Amino acid sequence: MHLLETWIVRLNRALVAFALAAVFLIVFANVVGRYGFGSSFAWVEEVARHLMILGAFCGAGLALREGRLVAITTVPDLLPDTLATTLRWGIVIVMFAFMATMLWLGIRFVEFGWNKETMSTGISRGIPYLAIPIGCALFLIQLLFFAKRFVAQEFEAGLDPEIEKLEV
Amino acid sequence: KELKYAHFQAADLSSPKHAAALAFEACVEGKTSGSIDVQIFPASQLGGGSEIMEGLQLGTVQMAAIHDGPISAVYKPFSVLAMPYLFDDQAMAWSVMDGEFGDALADDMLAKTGIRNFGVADNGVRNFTNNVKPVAEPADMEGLKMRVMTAPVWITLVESLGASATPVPWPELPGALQQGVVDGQENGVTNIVNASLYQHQKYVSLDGHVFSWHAYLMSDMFYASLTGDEQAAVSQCVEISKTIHRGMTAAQDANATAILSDLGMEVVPVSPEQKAMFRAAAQPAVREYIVGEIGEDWPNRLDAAVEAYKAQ
Amino acid sequence: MAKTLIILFFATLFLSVPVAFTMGIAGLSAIFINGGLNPLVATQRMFAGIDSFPLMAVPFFILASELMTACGLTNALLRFANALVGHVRGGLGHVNILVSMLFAGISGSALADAAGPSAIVMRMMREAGYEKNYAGALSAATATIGPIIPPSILAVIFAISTNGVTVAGLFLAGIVPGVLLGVSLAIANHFVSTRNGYRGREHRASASELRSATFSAVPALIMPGIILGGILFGVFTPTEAGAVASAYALFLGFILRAFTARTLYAAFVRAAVVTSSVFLIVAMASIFAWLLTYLQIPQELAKLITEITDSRLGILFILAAFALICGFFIDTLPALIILTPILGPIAYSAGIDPLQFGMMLVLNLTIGMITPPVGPVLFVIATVGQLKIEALSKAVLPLLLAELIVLLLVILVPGVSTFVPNFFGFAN
Ligand code: NA
Ligand code: NA
Repeated sequence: MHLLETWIVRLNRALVAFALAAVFLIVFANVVGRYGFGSSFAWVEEVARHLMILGAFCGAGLALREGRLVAITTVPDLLPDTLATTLRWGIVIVMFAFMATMLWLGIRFVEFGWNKETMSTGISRGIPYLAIPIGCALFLIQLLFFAKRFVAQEFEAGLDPEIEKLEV
Repeated sequence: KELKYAHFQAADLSSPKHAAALAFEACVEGKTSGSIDVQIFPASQLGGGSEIMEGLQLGTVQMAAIHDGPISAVYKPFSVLAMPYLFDDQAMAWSVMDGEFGDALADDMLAKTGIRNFGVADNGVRNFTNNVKPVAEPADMEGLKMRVMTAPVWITLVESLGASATPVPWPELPGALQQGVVDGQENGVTNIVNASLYQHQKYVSLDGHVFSWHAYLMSDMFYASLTGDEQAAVSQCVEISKTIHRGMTAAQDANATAILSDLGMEVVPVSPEQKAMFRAAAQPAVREYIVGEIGEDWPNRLDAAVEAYKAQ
Repeated sequence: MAKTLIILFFATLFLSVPVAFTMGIAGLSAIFINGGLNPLVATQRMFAGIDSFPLMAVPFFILASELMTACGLTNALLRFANALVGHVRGGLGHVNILVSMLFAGISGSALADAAGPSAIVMRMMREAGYEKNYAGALSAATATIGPIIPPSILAVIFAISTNGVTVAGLFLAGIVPGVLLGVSLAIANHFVSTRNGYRGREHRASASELRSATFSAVPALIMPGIILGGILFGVFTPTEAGAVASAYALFLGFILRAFTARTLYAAFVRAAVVTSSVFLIVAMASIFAWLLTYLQIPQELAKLITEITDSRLGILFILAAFALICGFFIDTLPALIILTPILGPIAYSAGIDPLQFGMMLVLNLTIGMITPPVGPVLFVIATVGQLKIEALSKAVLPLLLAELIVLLLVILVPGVSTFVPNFFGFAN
């Protein structure tokens, strides 16, 4: 179980890092192309946007793990521990219900967009819309694994190299 | 019944779409004694063109005046209207769009998308502008870096004329011109004026390559929910707003030379002979592209409609 | 429907549901309870809200500052600032301010500054005998310079939600207010240091020290020039500037042999995850903001405000006060996304320059990052420095005052925001 979780996190990280790297490369190549060779491509803008959206939705689960989904914690901080824990379980359930609904709506939205085209590349608009159900599904998986630690507020450090080590 | 009406121009009486929308609101609410409550959402408040097209199908928006690009993405044959140097003047363009051809296109669109097209007004005819040199014929386009809309058909058009095409999304266009990312662009007078594009463009060539069409679209689900009287009121009121919209842009196009030179642009006239040179260079390439996308049928029908008009 | 939307939003916010979800949950529930609206509009808005090329400047600038830190250049900036102003009264305080201003030319976010250079100087200040809450407060306050001096993630997000404002124009608008922010904080730091007897380093940096510190900081100091120069001379758009900045940082990292495969990969992962958390808020806020517009709430609010006053300055003050109050309770980014389409039209129809309004709003909400109860920068500093929010908030008060004076200047003098962009031809 633990091994499965480790691998899902690794794959998820690789996915979002790849999306960002790809977006970075094609946008930068387009600048170089325009100035170096006087040519640029219509698809760059659209493909970059859609890859970024995919990366953004798919990173939600990782953001959850690293405690980057900010919340206003005044109330749980004031509550006694047991109540705060109960409240956090409530939040887990609410987040799960919301993202499950978005997953379902996302699938319907992909179907809805399937017979339409994107403006530049002319691919089916359902393809970029896939980012929503894929992202929601990944988030739900991460939430299932992480729910207990979310309630205990045991967030992960992520892949942080230690900024703290900097010295003057 | 609530009728949410979306368009993309500023909430300003000098914007043709907004003036037309306000007239529509007054007309419909008057004729139906308020049984239809029209709410206007200008300036893309409810979303961009593609989202509003989807909104008409989802039923979140009931009516909209939308430009050709987003329509083509949902209903492909509409892109036949990107055929360059087709109409000689507005009268010809309107006659074709109001006649059998326009009706057939609207009927087909309704059947395939569930979106009802009440007809089109034009947002003026598109012209090339640039900041480098006067352009009077295709040879002058050589070496210019032109901004085009982010769809391949516009790249085909500009490249067939010998310029290099840089796709830039509309919101980034003023910045791209100001900073010189591109040398030029193409738009109608309305956009050149309203988006202050003239500030960074010295030359405008009145080549009139393509009409910018804005279609008056309604969600058919909503239309079907109206009573017979309400449907009639909507149709009549769209006619009125179409007339206002066309009148305002036609006035701008007719006075293009005066308006744009007052704003400090050098207006380069394009003679019929020079326009024929543009046509010869661009039309075959763009036609080939369009046929590749949507087949022969609609381009042929459009040609036939144009021929029929000329024969009159 | 409007009631469901707003009550659910505040209820979930209060119950510590992550901010991104509060807006999505409130929006989706309102749609379902109302029943008249197709729920697919929620997915549509969620997608469309982040489907924007200018918005992609955000991940690029996050990536660029991650890479700069990974190759040790943030550290070099710190040494440079220390050599320059470390010896004057309250020296480390001024180092804190200066390094934040320099870092702001690379990074577009206050949190990046707070977690990075500001947190480091905070530790240095404490070791040098500064009171720990003051050290924390100053680090929090200086971090807010990050999104004012270009590049700025908040400026990008304001510009994409407003017709007629370019990202480049708003970047330029931030230069003067950003410098003013630095100056006013320096004055405040001077007074506090005089009163509490905080001294500078024993002696000035020697010429050779200064030279070596400058030399190693040069690659980082060039970065803002590349970003702004490239945009101004039309080499690239602000979005592409982000990509170029990242490429430059990558290039430096390879030249300096600062990366291992692992640190490089980590920088990309971290930038991607931070981007996710930002984009998730933008996407969800887009559902929420669309519903507000759909229900014509901004239009009603505009009517209300114009009934109170029709003077340009009066309206600007009302809007500023409104935004300031929102900034106390809502996080900066969602507040900006929600308020821009609501307040913007009111401001523009009163004849307020969108650049001035944008700067006012961005600065205003950024100041909200160091005010309780919802002050993300304050939280980061409190966590890193193990400080109590209450004590930290008290120590931040004089600095808050200094920042509010700059905000007042931005409101009263349009030129503070508009002069530089107008000079470069960005006019409305
Ligand atoms: Na910055
Ligand atoms: Na700082």
